[in-house]
Amino acid sequence: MMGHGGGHWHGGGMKGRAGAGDLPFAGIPPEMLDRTNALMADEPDFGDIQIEFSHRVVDGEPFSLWTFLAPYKFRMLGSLALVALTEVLLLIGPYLIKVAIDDAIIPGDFDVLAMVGVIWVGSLLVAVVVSGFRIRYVGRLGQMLMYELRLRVFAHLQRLSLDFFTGEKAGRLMTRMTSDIEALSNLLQTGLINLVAQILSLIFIIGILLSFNVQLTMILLVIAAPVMLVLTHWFRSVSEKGYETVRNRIAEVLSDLQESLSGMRLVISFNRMKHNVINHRNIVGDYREANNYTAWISAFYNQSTQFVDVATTLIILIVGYFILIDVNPTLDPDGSFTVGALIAFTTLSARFFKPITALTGLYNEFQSGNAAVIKLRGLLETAPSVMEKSDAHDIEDMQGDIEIRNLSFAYDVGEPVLDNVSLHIPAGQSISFVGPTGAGKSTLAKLIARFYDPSLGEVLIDGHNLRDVTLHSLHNQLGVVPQEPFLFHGSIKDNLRFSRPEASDEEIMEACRTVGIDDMIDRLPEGLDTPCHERGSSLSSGERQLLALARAFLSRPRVLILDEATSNVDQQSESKIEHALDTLLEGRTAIIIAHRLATAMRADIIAVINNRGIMEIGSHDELVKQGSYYADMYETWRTQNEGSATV
Amino acid sequence: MSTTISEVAPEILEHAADPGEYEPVSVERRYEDPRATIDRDRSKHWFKRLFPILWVNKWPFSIAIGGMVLSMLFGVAVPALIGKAIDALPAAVTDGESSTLFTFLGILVTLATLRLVIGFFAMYQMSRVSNQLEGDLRSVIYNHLVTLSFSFYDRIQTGQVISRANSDIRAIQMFLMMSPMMLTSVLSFTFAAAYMASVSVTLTLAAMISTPIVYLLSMKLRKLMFPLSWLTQARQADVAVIVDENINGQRIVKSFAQEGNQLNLLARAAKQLQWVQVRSVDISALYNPLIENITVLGQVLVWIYGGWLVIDGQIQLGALVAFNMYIMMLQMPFRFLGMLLQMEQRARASAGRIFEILDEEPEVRDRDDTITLTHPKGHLKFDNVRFGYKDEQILRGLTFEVNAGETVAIVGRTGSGKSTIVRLLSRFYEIGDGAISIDDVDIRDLATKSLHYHVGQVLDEPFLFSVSIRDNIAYGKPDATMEEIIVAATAAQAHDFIMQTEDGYDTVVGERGYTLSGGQRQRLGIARALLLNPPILVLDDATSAIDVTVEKAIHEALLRLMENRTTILIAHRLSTISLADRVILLDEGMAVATGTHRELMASVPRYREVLAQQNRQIGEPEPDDAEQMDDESDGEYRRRIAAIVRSTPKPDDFPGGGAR
Ligand SMILES: Nc1ncnc2c1ncn2[C@@H]1O[C@H](COP(=O)(O)OP(=O)(O)O)[C@@H](O)[C@H]1O
Ligand SMILES: Nc1ncnc2c1ncn2[C@@H]1O[C@H](COP(=O)(O)OP(=O)(O)O)[C@@H](O)[C@H]1O
Ligand SMILES: [Mg+2]
Ligand SMILES: [Mg+2]
Repeated sequence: MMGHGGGHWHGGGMKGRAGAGDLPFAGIPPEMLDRTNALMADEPDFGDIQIEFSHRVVDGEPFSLWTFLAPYKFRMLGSLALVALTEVLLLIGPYLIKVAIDDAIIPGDFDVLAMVGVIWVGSLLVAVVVSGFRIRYVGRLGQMLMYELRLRVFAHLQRLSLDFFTGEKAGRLMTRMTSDIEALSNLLQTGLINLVAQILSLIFIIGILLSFNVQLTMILLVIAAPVMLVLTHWFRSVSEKGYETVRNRIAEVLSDLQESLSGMRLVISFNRMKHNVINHRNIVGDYREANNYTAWISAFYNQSTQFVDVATTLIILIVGYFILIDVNPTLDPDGSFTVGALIAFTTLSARFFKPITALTGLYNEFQSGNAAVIKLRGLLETAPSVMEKSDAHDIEDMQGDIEIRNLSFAYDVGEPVLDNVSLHIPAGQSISFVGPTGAGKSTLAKLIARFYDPSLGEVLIDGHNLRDVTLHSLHNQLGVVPQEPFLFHGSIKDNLRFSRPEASDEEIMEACRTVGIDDMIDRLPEGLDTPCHERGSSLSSGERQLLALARAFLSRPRVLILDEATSNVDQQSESKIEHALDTLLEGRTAIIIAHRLATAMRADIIAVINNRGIMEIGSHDELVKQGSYYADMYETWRTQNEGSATV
Repeated sequence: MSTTISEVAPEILEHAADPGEYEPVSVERRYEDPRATIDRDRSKHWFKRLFPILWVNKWPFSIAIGGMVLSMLFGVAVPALIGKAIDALPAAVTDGESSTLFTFLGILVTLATLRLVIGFFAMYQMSRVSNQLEGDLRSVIYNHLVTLSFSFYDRIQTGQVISRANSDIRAIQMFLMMSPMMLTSVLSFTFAAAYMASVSVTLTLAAMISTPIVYLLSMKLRKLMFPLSWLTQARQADVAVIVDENINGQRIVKSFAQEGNQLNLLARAAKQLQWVQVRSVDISALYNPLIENITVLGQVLVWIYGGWLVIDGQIQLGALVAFNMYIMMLQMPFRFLGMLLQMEQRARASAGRIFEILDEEPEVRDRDDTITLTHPKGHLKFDNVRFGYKDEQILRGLTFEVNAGETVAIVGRTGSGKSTIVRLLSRFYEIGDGAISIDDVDIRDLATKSLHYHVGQVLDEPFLFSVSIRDNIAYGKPDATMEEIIVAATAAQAHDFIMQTEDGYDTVVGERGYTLSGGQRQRLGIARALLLNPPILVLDDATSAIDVTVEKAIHEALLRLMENRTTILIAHRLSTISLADRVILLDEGMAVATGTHRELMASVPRYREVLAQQNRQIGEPEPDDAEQMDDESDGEYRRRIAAIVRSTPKPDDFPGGGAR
C-alpha cells in the first residue's frame, strides 16, 4: 500500500568492497527497480583499473583553470563553435516572424509564407542535430575532465602526511573532493560555455533589433535593460546572502541531527530529550525563517520580472506607435519601420532579457567555480610534510633493527614533545614503552613508522635512514595498531583483508584464531560476511580491537607496533595475543605501548618515557633493581596484586 | 601532578530537588512546536497520513491558492489584450483613432499591476506554507527519534536517517507544493484554449498538435533518466564513502601501505560515475533538442497556418500574436502532468520511508503508573536475567546483588556481556526474562527518566560532541554553573589538562573529540557523569587509557564526592579491580563466582584464567601454557603459529614501491 520500497533499511545491503558495494536502493519505487537493475547489468566492470601511485609529488605547473584546460584547448574551441552555431539557429525564428508578417501576411503572398515555413522547419532540423551534437560533445568532455580531476585530487590526498589530516576538519576535506569538484564541473560544463553563448546571443539580438529599428532599440537599451539589470543585480546579491544563510542553517540542522543520532545513547542516558527537542526546533525554526526570507525575495523578483516584461511590451507598443506615425503613417510593408518589425520586436524583447538575467547568474557561477579552483590549488600545492626522496630506495627484507639517534620532535614549534632521544632496539627484541599519559609514547611510535619526520636527529631501520627509503616498502613491512580500532564500511572480511587484499579466507580465519576472535565470528549468522555496521557499533569495544589486531597480523608485518591496542581486551585474550606475537614475530621486533604493567613487563626491554625523553631503560629485573620510577610502578602493582581486594 | 583532592568540594554538586528537574532544559523555546503529526493509522493512503500536517495550515494554504488562481487569470488575459492592442494599432496609425489602442493598453497596465501584487503575495504565502510544512516534518521526525530505544539505533544507519530527514522531506514538500500549480495550469489551459477556440478552432488544434508529442517524448525521457539519476546518486555516494573513509581512516591506510589500492578503488568508482553520467549526457543529447524544437514547431505551424488565415481574412494579426503567446500555456498542464506523476511516485516512496521511522515503536516505555525514583540507596539486584540482542543469548540467567554503597567489579572475557549488564541496568534494552531491581523496586516499574537520573554511566569509548569542553561536561546538566563544572573536572583529573588547552573550558572539541588523546577523552567522560554526582555509578572500562596513578586519584575523588555511592567497575586491569570491595566473575552469561579478589584467586581457577598473567609473579615459574589456551593444547597452538610464520612473504614478494 504505502510503498515501503525495496527497503534495505535495516542495515544490510552493504556488502562488497569498501565503498563500492551495492546501491543504496532503499526506497526506490518498486516499479522502477527493474529498470535500475537492468541499467546496472549494462554497467561495464571497471575492476581492472590500475593507476600508478607514487608518493612523490609530480612537479608541474600550479593548478589553475588555464593549466587544467590547456591540454584540451582545441576541444574547448570546438565546443565554443558549436555553441555559437546553436545560438544563431535559435534567432532565425524571430527574424522569420518579421519576414512572414511584412512580406507575406500583410501583402497576402502565400508563396513567401510557404517559403518562410520551409526555411523555419529546416532551421529547426539543423538545430536538433547541432544542439544534440553539442550536448554530447561538451558533456563527455566535461565528464572526462572531472574523472581526471577526481583522481588527481584523491592521489594527492593519499600522499599528504598525517599531520594534514589531524589539522584539517574531515568535513572540510570532503568538500574538496565533492562540492568543489562539482562547482568546477558546473563551471566547465555549463558556466563557461553559457557565458560565451549568452554574450553571443545578446550581440545577435541587439544586431537584429537594430536592423528593425534603431530608436526602439535605444529605448530598450536605455530604459528596460537598466531596470532589469538593477532588479536582477539586486536579486542576485540579496538572494546570494539569503541562500548562504539557508545553506548554513540547513547545515546546522543536519549536523545537529547527525550528532544527536550518533550520540543518541548519551541523549537517552542523560535525559536530554526535552532539551534537544527544543533546541532542534529552534534550529529548524531559524532555518525556516531563512527560507521564508529567500521566498520573499524570489516571489518579488519573479513577479517583478513578469511585470517588467509586460511593461516593456507596452512601452514598445506605445513608442512603436509614435514611430510608425512618424516614419510610416501609411503602414507600407516595405517602409523603414513596419508592423511586422514591431511585432517581431515585442517577441524578441522577451528573449533580450534572457541573456541579461543569465549573465548575472553566470557571474556567480564563475565566482564559485573560481573559488573552487583556488581551494583545489591550495590543496594540490600542499606538500606532504613527510616527503619521499626522488632517489629513495626500498628496505628489502626488513629485520627490524631500530635505531633512534638524538631525536627531537615538536608538533607545534617551541613545544617539544621529545627532546634528544636516543634508543637502540636490536632486531628480534620486544620493547615496551611505559609512562604517564601525554608523555610522548605514541609520538615516538609514529616517528618510527615515519608518520612524522623528526625535527632533529634521525630514525634508522636496519641501518637505513627512514628519510631515504620508500614509504611503500616501509609501511608494507611495519604495522601499527592504534588504540581506536577504525573499521571501514563493508564486511568483517573486507576489513580484515584491508591490510592484504589477496589474503584467502583460510588465512583470514587463521588470523582471527590467533587473536581469539574466531568463536565470535563463528557465532555470527553471516560469519565473516557480517557487515561492520556503523563502524562496528554492534561489537563490543574489545572485539573491535581484536579485529584491528587480526587485520595487522594478516599483513604479516616484520615490525609491529601496538599502541594501547589491547586496552579494552581481557587479560586472557591479551596474553594469548602476546603469546602469538612471541612466535609470530620470532626474530623480529615488537613495540608495545600499554598501561597494564603485566603486559609491559613481558617485553625484553622496557623504556620509561617521561619528561620529553627516555627516563629509564633496561630489562624488568634491571629496572626493578635500579629502584626508581619503574620500580615504584612495579611495587604499586605488586601490592595490588597481593594485598588488595580484601574487604 | 594534578589538582589536589582537597579542592573538590562535594557540596557544590547539588541534586535535583524534585523529579521535574530530572529532565534538564536550559534552552529558550523560540518557536512553537509543530501543531500536528502524522496519522497513526498505517492502513491509510500516504497522502491521508500526512494530511494533518498540511491541514493545520489550511487558511494560509487556501488563501495562497486563491491568490494564485487570481493572478493566473490576469496572466491569461495579457496575451489577448496585447493582441487586441495590436489589432487596434493600424487604425490608430492611419486614421489617428488611438483611443481604443490606449484603452487596451490602460487595462493591460492595471492588470499587470494587480498581477504583480497578488502574484507576489500568493507566491510568498505558498512558500511560507511549504517551509512551515518542511520544518514541521523535520521536527516531527526528530521528536520521534528521541523517543526510540537503543535497539532501534543498533539497527539503523545514521546516514540513511539523515537522508530520509533531508531528501525525502524535500520530495514530499515539492510534490505537495507543485500540485496546486497543476490546478492553476489546468485552469489557464482551459481559459487560453477557450479564448483560442473562440478565435479559430482549427488554428487552436494546429497550436496543440505538437503538445502530445512533446508530452510523450518528455515522459519517455523521464523514464529513461530515472534509473540513470538513481545510479548517479548511488555512484556519487560511493565516491563520497571512499573519500570519507580515506580521510577518517588515513592512518590505517598509511599503516598498511594501501594508498595505491585505495586509489584504484576510487578510480573504479569514479569511472562508474563517469559511465553513468555519460549515459545521461547521451540520452539528453538525443531527447532535449527534440523536445525543445518540436515545441517551436508548434509555433511555426501557428505562424504559417495562422498567417494563411489572416491573409484569408478569417482572423486578425493581433489574434495571431496572442496565439503565439498562448502556445506555452497550452503546454503547461501536459508538462506538469508528467512531472507531477513522477513526483508523486517519488513522494510516495519518500513518505513510505519516513513513515518507517515514525511507525517505529519505542521498545522501552514507561508503564502507566510508574514510580519515581528519588534518593535511592542503591541496592541493585539482578534476578535470573536472560537477554540477547538477537537470537543468541548473551546473558543466560544472571543473578547477583550489589549492596547499597558497595563497590563491585565485574570481570569477564571480551564479549562476555559486561557492558550489556550495564545497559540493562539503565533499561536501555528490555530484558527477555527475569528481573532487575533497585532498592527492591523492579526497574520496569520506575519512571525511566528518574532511573537514568540516578544511574550514571561512563563508557569505555566516550562519545564527545563537537561543542566546547564545558558544554560536553555539562551535557547532563546544561544549566550547571562554572563552579560545578570545575569541581567535576577536577574530580575526574581533567581540570589540569583542560587549562592547558588553548581556550580552556571553551575549547571546542573536534569531530568525535579526536583532537584529544584517548585518556583525555575518557576523563571528560568521567567528568560528565560526575557532574550529576549520581548515587549509582558505573564505570565501564572507563579508565583503560588512563595511567594507574591518575586512575587512583580519580577514585579517591569519587569517594570524597559521595559516601555510600554504589559503584560498578568493569575492568581488565588489576589496578582497577583492586579498588572494588568485591568481584563478580561473569562467564557464559552467568555470574559464576563472587567474592574478594583474593578469595577468587585462591579458589576459582576460571578467575585466574581470565586474569591470565596477573596470577603469575615475576620470578615464579611460568604457569603451564596449556592452562591459558583454553581449548587447545600448547603444541597444536605452536604448530599453527609456526604455519603462519612460514607463510610470511619473501622479501621480493611484496609489491614493490615506486622506486624500482
Ligand atoms: N596531532 C597532535 N598535534 C599536537 N599535539 C599533539 C598531537 N598528538 C599529540 N600531541 C601532544 O603531544 C604530547 C604527547 O602525546 P602522545 O605521544 O600521544 O602521548 P602518549 O602516547 O604518551 O600518551 C601530548 O601533550 C599531546 O597533547
Ligand atoms: N548492540 C548490539 N547488537 C548486537 N550484538 C551486540 C550489541 N552489543 C554487543 N553485542 C554482542 O554482545 C556480546 C556482549 O557484548 P558486550 O556486553 O559489549 O561485551 P563486553 O563484556 O566486552 O563488554 C558481544 O558478543 C557483542 O558482539
Ligand atoms: Mg598514546
Ligand atoms: Mg564492554
